[in-house]
Amino acid sequence: MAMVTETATRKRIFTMQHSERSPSWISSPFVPFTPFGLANGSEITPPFEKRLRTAPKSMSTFKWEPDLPGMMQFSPGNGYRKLEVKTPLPAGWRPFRGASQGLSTPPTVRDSRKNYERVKNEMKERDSWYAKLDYSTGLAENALDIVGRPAYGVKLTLGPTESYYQKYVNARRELDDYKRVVQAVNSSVPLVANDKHTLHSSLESMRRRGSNLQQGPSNLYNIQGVVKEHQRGGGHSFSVMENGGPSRSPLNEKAQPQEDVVPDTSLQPMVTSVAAHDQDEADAPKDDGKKESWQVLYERTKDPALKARMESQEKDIEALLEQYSRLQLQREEDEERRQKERAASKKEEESEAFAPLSIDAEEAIEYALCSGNRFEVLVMNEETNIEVTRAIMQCLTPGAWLNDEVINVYMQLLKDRENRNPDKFLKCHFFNTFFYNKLYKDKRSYDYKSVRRWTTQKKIGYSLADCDKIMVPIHQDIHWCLAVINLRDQKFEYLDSLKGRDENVLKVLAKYLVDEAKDKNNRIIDVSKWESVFPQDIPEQLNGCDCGMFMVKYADFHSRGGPLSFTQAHMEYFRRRTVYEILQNEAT
Amino acid sequence: MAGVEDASTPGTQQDEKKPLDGAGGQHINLKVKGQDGGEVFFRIKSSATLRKLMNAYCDRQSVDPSSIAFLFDGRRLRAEQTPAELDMEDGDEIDAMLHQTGGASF
Repeated sequence: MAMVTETATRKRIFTMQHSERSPSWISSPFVPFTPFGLANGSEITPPFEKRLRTAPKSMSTFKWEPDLPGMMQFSPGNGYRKLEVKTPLPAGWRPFRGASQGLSTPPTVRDSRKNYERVKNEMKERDSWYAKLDYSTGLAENALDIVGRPAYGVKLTLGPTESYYQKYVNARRELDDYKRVVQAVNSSVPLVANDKHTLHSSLESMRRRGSNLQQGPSNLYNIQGVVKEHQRGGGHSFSVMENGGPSRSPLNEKAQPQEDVVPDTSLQPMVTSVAAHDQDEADAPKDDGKKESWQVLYERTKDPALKARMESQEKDIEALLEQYSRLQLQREEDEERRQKERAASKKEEESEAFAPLSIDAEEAIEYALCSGNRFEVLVMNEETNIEVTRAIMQCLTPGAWLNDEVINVYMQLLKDRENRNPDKFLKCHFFNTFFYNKLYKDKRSYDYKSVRRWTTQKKIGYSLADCDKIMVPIHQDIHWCLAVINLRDQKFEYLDSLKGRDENVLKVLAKYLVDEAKDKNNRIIDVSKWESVFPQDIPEQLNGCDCGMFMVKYADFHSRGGPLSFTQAHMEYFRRRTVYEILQNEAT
Repeated sequence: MAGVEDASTPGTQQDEKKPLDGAGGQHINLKVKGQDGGEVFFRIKSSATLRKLMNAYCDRQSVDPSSIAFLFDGRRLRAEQTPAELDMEDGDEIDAMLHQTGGASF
């Protein structure tokens, strides 16, 4: 009882609303659902099965053909009974070309790359068309969802239209005909087939569509032309022959289908020989053509002279191909040998200094330099007690200035490298960036005492006087340079990537060396004859940010004992490589 | 600043003296030397980490701890280290160095 009242009340409310105002949906096909059914019905309707049955019959069909891929249009008439959503095929749609694949011979040595490319492209194109079709289907489905598919008996029409379908069927038939003929000729089975009707139809259709067959399987899809020709009522395709032109006759081509199968190769001689053969044959089919008998042409393929010529041609082709592949092989071998020689001529150390980074390394570098937590400790160098955080490491991103931490860690890595491989690298000592500050710069006066304890035997395990080279990073306020005490060659070097000169540095270092030898080794070194050089032929910095990297690499290459064979162009690579080496705690 | 005490020495900028902490551990005097030549003396337990010393120095000098590198005989110090494990002796000198950066010159 209560329920009945409630329903009646709702109904009344609904009716009132409906009569009071004209809702905006009244002229649109979108009919809102209400808990009681469709909003445009005066009756409360049960679920959609029933609604389907009771849909008003007076309404006309609503048609909707969305344009692809543009906006969808939706402008129905006043009423409708049936909603038809039609999605046109994408412009340029054809029956898929992949059908030709049934025709292509299995890959042989004769199949040129071009042929493969063609098939591949066809497949690609086909896929893209299907993707477009899927897209269009999706649009239609969406539209139906909006309109309310079940309520109105909407029919979704998708796929090829009638005419497209007809074209497709035609192409398919042609293809089958062509296949059959090729098979028959190849297997030398006489074309007097068991199924008379089939044979007849295939011959007939071949005759009619000769122009298509002339061009081989890849052009089977030029169907529109065929259809037009057919509609014109011409019926046969010997127009070229009748004109008496020198061009190929389609049926002649068919008569030697093996040639059709032979694709172009990149070999010039072969192509010309085939062309020459065609010209020889150009006149012959004239009389045959009038007979319009395919079988006569087919008989011609059994002509021993022709057969012999073809066989000899095939042999020629084989020989040429063989020769070609031999040459190719030889060329590859030569290239390989030359590369080996080139590699051998390079110094092993040098190639090591420029070894490309692995993918793993690149990933690690990306992670280290990414804009993550700046305070994340990426690596801890035990030797120097330096924790390299991301913020510190990011000074190695291209364009950034190097800080002392990175340089000090790297100097330590160079020392570790030398310890691991004492035969390969010179015996060096790498001071940290603060050494020269303590020794001279901070006080603007020479102070041996403040660094005396830096190089005790106990601390470094060797004595400076026994080293080949001593590397001293020099921090010139905003610039990095490297001073090298070259004990092996008895000289002091000042390496400035911007070709600067600071004689004072070398003087101070000379004094330091004397004091150090006296203090630690009780030895007197006479440095008065040692040379102070400011080499100008060193790799030069061409920007305002890479001097730290240059400095570090001067030290690296000096430690290798090789020439400074790098340039500004290498700096980006060196920066990344340095990141990786620091992450690995191991320089190579 | 428990565990770390400034010890004034004639001739330095120190002006306050704190009593020795009598309880436990052996105390040593350490000198932190800045790049400007200024020296600050600290008295610290051998077993205490250097963190307090570093923070105290930075507070006194009004500098950001992350901008300073502390060196002992040329080697970087970490805050977690203690004088004992570094074999520091009474009167040893720690260098406080400002971090450096560089890319070019004028």
